[in-house]
Amino acid sequence: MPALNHYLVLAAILFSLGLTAALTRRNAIMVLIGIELMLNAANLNFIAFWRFRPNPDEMVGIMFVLFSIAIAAAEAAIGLALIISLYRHYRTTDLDQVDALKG
Amino acid sequence: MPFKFFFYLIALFVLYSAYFVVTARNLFRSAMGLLAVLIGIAGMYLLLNAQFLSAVQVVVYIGGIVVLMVFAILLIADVTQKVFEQSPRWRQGLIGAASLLWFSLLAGSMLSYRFGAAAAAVDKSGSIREIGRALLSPAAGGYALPFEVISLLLIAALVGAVTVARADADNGEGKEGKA
Amino acid sequence: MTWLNQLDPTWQFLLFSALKVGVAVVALLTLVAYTVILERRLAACIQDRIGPNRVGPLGLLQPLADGVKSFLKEDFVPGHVRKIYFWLAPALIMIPALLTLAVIPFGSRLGSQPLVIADLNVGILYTFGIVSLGVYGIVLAGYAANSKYPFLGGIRSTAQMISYEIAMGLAVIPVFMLAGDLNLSRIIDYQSHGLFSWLAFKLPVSFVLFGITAFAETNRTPFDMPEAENELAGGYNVEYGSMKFAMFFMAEYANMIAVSAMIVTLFLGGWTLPWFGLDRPAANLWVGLLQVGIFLGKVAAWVSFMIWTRWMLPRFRYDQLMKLGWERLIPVALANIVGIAVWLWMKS
Repeated sequence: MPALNHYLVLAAILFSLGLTAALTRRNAIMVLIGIELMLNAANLNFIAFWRFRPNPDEMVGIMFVLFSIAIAAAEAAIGLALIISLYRHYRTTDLDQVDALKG
Repeated sequence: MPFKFFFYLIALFVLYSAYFVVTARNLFRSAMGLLAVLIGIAGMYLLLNAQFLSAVQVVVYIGGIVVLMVFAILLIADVTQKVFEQSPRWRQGLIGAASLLWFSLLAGSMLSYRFGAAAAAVDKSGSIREIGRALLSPAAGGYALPFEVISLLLIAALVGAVTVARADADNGEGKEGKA
Repeated sequence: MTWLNQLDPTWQFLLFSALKVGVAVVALLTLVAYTVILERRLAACIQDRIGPNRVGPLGLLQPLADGVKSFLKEDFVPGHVRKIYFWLAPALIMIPALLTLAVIPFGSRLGSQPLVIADLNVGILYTFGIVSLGVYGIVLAGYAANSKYPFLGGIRSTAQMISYEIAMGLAVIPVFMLAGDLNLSRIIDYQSHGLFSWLAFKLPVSFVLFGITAFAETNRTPFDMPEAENELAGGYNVEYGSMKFAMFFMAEYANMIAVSAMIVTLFLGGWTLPWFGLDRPAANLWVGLLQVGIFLGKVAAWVSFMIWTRWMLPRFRYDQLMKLGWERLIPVALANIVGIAVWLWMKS
């Protein structure tokens, strides 16, 4: 049985990779993908802590992840809709080029 | 023993896929990498005795969010472009260093904090029935209020996504307004 | 057989699981082969032709001949495709159908062995996860082909499958509400009290909705937009030939069988029949086998219905398909859930 620390370290690496993906890439969809990686790392932590909980009847961990997944779905839908309308307007999804306030 | 083996197997798979996501030079490949990461995480949830969440992860993330992303990637013409613009080298290096620093901070603080009291794993898993009861119970310890709030949020997101995506329908291509 | 009983439970479990998996896979592939010939013969009947009847008695060896032909053809890879995905897509496309079968109870029991490979507590949720994986095979194929028609087929199928998946999920919710469980064996138990305890009769709206979305999820006519021959020249699988094409072809039928098995389990009572005590777990080997036969018969009946529909109805236009999905099926499914909830609340 791997200990709690194993999961925490795995989640930390995953989070850092997600951060790198979100920051190094200039494409809007890539940034969204990086954010999803980070969200999953956080969810993994929640579940790991839930598994090693002191009170066996506690369900906060599971609930947190359920809500987090629902929010991630909303975020992806809105984000992708924005990216598509951005693309229609500027003909690019490169975030560094989308800097004009005036269309 | 088998638990440990599966843990390392899945962990390696997840980390390699995440590395692939970060380094892939094409949007579609990154999305496929993300898909692999999410499958791995679903496996992790199984190892952690959260079967229900594992199924939810597959249905919502893999069957919903990533499909949506792939759909957006296919709609945006950049797919055919083999290599997309990278940030300049110095910026990549800087960000890499920052991420490394962040990781060491994160791992250091988590490992040095003693979660000792809770070192033993609890084998009891919340059954779907219990989760459902808790989700809808208005009593203390129930989650009825957050549940309602999240349903409002989802409706708002749905309406918002449709409005944003078909905002300039007069361009003659406003049919993709779905989320 | 005594040595079997002397094994320790873990080994027994592993042995029987492996056996069940093997038998289920072989049975599925055989069924796929014979569904193909069933389709060709039925189509011929409907169009007043004879259909393939040359190979073997009544043409029953036709699938074998088709298989040999696919194997012997040159495995040609066009120069402009994206190689990795081009190889990956045909491999991926069979997986969902095979994985779905893992949770479907295909009989009550033989001896002391329950006839289901994995009796999951989250059974239906699991099948929905698997169904949603089905879209990746087609998208990958469309993307890999790197040319216009397959690409369009891929995009169409993504939109179609996510749209109809929502309606499908909403259609099944009343089933949970009545049966109070996600486990497929429990749902069959719930339906084993006479003919009118079948959920098809208790929840006709759900049944019809699920039936319609099943056509869309398997890309069958009237919803076969992703491969519409006369618009897209075959859609996502245009660039494929020989064995790789055969994989796509087999996957279509495997998916049909998987979705029929789901419908039979969820709405048509699974392996039970309300007469002669066939709705109780089998007492001996022969009844057990008979119940497997009943299950297969029901699946075959639904598969025939799907084939019959294909040759009876024209194809929808794409915007009609989207309109039907989002503006008709989903609102009806939501109203159905609310209606059932109110009914259950009044009853309690």
